This record gives sequence, structure tokens and C-alpha cells, in this order.
Amino acid sequence: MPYRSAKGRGVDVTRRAICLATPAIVLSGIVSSPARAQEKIVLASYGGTIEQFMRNVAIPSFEKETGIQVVYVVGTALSNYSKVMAARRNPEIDVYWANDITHLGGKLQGLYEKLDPNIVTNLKDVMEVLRDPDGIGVPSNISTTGIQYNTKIFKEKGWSPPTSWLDLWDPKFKGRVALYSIGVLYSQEFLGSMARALGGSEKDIGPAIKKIKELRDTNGIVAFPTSPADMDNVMVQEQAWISNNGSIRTLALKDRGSVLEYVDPKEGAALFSVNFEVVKGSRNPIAAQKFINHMLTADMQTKAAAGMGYAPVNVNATIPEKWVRYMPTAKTIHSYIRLDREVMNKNLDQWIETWNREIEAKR
Amino acid sequence: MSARRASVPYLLVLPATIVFLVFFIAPLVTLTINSFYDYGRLTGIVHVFTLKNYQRIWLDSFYLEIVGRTLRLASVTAAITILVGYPVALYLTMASARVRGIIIFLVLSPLLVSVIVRTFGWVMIIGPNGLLQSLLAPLGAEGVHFLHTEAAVVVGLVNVLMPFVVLAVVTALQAIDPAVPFAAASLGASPWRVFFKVILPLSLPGLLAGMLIVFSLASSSFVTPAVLGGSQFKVLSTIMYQQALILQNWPFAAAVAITLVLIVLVVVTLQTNLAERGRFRAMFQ
Repeated sequence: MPYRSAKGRGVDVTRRAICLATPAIVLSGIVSSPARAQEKIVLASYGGTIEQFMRNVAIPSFEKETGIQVVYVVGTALSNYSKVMAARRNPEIDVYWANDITHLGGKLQGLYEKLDPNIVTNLKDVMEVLRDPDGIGVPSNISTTGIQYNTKIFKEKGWSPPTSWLDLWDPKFKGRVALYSIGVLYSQEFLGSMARALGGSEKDIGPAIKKIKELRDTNGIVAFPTSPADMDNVMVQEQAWISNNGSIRTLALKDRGSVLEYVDPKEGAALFSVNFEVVKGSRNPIAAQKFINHMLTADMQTKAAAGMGYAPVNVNATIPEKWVRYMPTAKTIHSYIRLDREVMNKNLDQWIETWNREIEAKR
Repeated sequence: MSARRASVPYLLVLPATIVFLVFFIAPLVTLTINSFYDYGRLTGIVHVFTLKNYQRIWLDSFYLEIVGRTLRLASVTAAITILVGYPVALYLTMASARVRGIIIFLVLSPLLVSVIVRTFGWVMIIGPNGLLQSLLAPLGAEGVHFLHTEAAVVVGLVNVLMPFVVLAVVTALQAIDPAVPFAAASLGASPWRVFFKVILPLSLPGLLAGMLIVFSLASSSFVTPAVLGGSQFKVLSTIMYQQALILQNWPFAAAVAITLVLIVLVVVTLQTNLAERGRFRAMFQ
């Protein structure tokens, strides 16, 4: 039954209107109302820890609050991007959770809608440096790419924690270094960071490629994992002792008592974000924006930091005590490397081609 | 009446024809058209005619090496699958009905498990800290594992493709008149000679069919090379994946796909032609 007020039979029009409107907003999440077609949006998102958090925390509270149902589609930023692109004439996805590159790439190809600040009211609390200059999409959470290492091995060997990207070249790690395959953002961030550290830039990755090739030839790369879950295995099983990885990955593992640790390299950790996009042609653009707004509330941002290990973008959110030293804030954000996404997006095929030929190839 | 009867064969193949046209020919045509389009990171797919994608594959040693590796993987897999599968098929034709049932079930079992599960099963066996490693450790071969090598991919492919060889060869073997090998034996041929001079040539059509199926499936397999070969072991299918999914360069991915289709087509045609002209051509008529 949709309404509790069934006993009031001869209700007048106003009361009836209230009876209809109020439960629609407050109750339809809890009480099913088969009589009315429920509003729903399709969210193209990620798996793993993120999926758990979204399904258990973020989505239920949104559905309860608005009565809008969220259909969760699991994928990666790239596989979902391909879906958005393939169905651009008749989109199935309403909200796409992009990464920096697919945000920019899709924006350039006109795949996303502009957000309405009157619906996404929390937009004004998003760190200003992060906001899209054209108001298309919005970063929802941020994290960094740095060095991940195994504290147990380091303790056994009496080594001090790594401090620089160049520590990966240390001969003591011979046969124990893992780097992500270049299709994964973490290795793109690593390549860009190395280019800057070695006097090149996003436009000139030559020096970095040469140096990383040296790493492969001397220390050897024990694995090029193609997904974060793959990297977790390589690190947890101690095939590798040190790698390039995101802080979010490490925090998720630390939460479960892992001995893996994350550190920002002194060259600067590279900052990346995940971005919510309303897909152009979405049938429910308003509901989609309501959902985005929900994800940007200080409360949800605080919960996301604790639950997913993703740093908040809302300046009013609180970072849990245990993660304070890992997460960028409005004050510290300028100390992180922010690679030029425009150049990266433009040159990504060359980056991948060069890396494929020079580094990630059978010798 | 006779007109109606004449149309029956066409009606019978109609459903298959529709499925074939809609799900095979149409996508292949789209793919071919796509492979001649241009692509830019900033512009997306550009609808102009270009040969650039094909030049990139066929004129660059990096991609030619990948084409070569794919061919080698498929050929080695086909050869080993025949070597392993043929004796099984031979045994099957001689075994009792009960044993035959058990063996057929065992042979088909890899097809009953999803490709992901089966492949990760192999990772657990041949990977680091895997079963193989713990078996070899007491023998003094510590830290030996062959995950992320070509051998690993071949093992995984032979495992799943063997049923195709066994079933194809069994069919051919069962078609042999038992009187023929008996006749050879009664005329004084040794068992080996009976096998090589009578049974093997008579089973060639099945053997060839199995080999072609294995070759084409192995050359287009994706999960097995991606997981067991690792990201350094690049074949045409994994390149296609990277180009289509990571770089959204669908035209180049389409050109890689068409290249793969052409390779398989050429190999199949060549092999069939050779068979029909060779010493045992009578077998194929």
C-alpha cells in the first residue's frame, strides 16, 4: 500500500494532494508503490570497494530520500566510456562516473550535459580548482598516484621507506618491481610524473621512456598488471615489493589489515579525480543531477572518504583521522602534480604505442 | 505440390541464413567499412576513406611481429592439440561403451566450465605460489613458474580446444570400415604399418577439420592469452582490445580484426587446397 492514510476516506482535494505528494518524496523508497511508474536512473560505475560502498551506503540513502531508483552497472571508466560512446544516439546510461581523461575526451566530443547549479546545489562547495571551467560534469572524489610498498618485507630487510620514484631503480628491488600496464591510469600518471621529474613534460615523454626502459633492463618488471585487482594479487602475494599505485587502492587494503603502505614520492604525487557526467540525451537529466548532488553533500563525501578511501572534493566534508595524511585537502591540493589532461588526452595513443614498443614488450 | 516440395530445402535453411546474415555478414560488413575510416583523439571517428589503418599493421615490424606471434601461437596450439587429441580419439573408437561415455565426458569437461573460471584455474596451477611450484620445490627447482609465457597460453588453449579435435577425429575413425585394417593385418602388415598406411590416411579429413577449428579458435582467442600470457604477450586479439576499449580507436581495431579474419581465411583455403591436391586427395572427395 502506498499511503498510510487509507482510513481517511472522504478526504478533500488538498489533503489528497498532500497525501500523494508527501509519500512520493518520503516513503516511496521504503514502501513499494506498484501503481506508479518509479523514476529511475542508470549509473555506470566501478566494481570492488566502490561498488560495495555505493550499493550499501550511497544508493540506499538516495533512494530513500528521493524515491528515484538507481540501476547500478559495473564496469571500468573505460569500458563504460565505450558504452556511452557506442550508444550516443540512444543513451541507456544516465550518469557515467568518468575519470579525468574520459571526462575530457567525452566533453570534447559532446557526450555530456552541462550541470544546472540550481539542481546540483552542492557544486558551490566543490573545491574551486577542481571544477570544470565550462560547468560540464563535476569531480566527485580525488586520489593520488604514488609508491606502494610492502612494509613487512621492508622491516625484515631493515630498509627505510621509499621516498622517491627513483627508489624503484634501486638494485635491491631487482625482480621485485611491478608497474601497471599502460592502459591503466596509474601508469599513465607515473609516466607523466617521470617525464616532468626528468626535465621533459607531458609533451615530451622521451626522457621518461628512456629511464623506465632502463628500469626494465636492470631491475626487471616482474609484472604489468592490467587491473587494480591484478596488482593487489601481485603485491599481496609478494611477487613484487614495490609498485606504482593509487592511494585509494592502498587504503582499501589497509582497511582490511594489509601490510601494504602508500607514500607520496618527493617528486610529487599525481592527483586524479573521478567525475560524474550526465550523459547527453539522458531521459532523466533532472533525476541524474539530483543523484550527483546527493554524492556531493558534505555528509556523503565524508562517508565516501571513510568507506572508499576517496578524498572528498566538498570543502565542508571531514576526512577520517586515520586517512588524514593520505588525502589532499583544499589547503594542500596545490602541492600535488596535476598533469595536463588536455595534452594527455591528445597524445594518449602515442604514449601507449611508445610504452608498448619500448617497455611493455617481450624482449 | 512439386513446387512446394522444391521450396522445402530453402525453407529449412532459412532460419540459419537469417541468423548468419544478421549476426555474421552484417557486422562483418560494418567492421570492414569502419576499418577504412580515420580516427583522431580529438575528433573521434572521421568518415573519410583511408588505408592508414592497414598500412600501420602491414608495414610496421612491431605489428607484423604480433601477426607472426598470433600465427605461431595458433599453429603450435593446433599441432599439439592433434598430438594429444588423436590418441584419445583412437582409444575412444576401441573402448567399451561405458568407458567411452566416461572419456567423452572428460574430454568435453573443459567446455562445461566458463572460460574465466578455467583460465584462473590454470593461473592457480602454473602461477607463482601455485600447485606446480609447490610440487617442484622439493625437487630443488624453487621459484619456477611459467605463467605469462607463450607455453602457458598454449597449455590453456590445448586444454579447451582438445574436444574439437577428438570429436572430429572420432567421427572420421568411426567411418572407416573395420574390414580394411583387418585386411591389411592379414596381409602381414605390422600394427604400426596398419596405423600409418591405413588408419591415419583414412582419418585425415577429420584430423584436418579438427586442426582448422583449433587454428581459427586459437588465433582469435582473447581471455586465455590475456590472462595466461600477461600484458607483454601481445596477440592480435589483445591489441584489438587495447585499441577499441582503452583508446576508442575503433577503425584501427576493426582493421586488426579484418586482418585476423583474412589470415584465418587464407590458412583455411591453403590447407584445404593442399589437401585436395596432395597424395591423399581421394580422401577429400
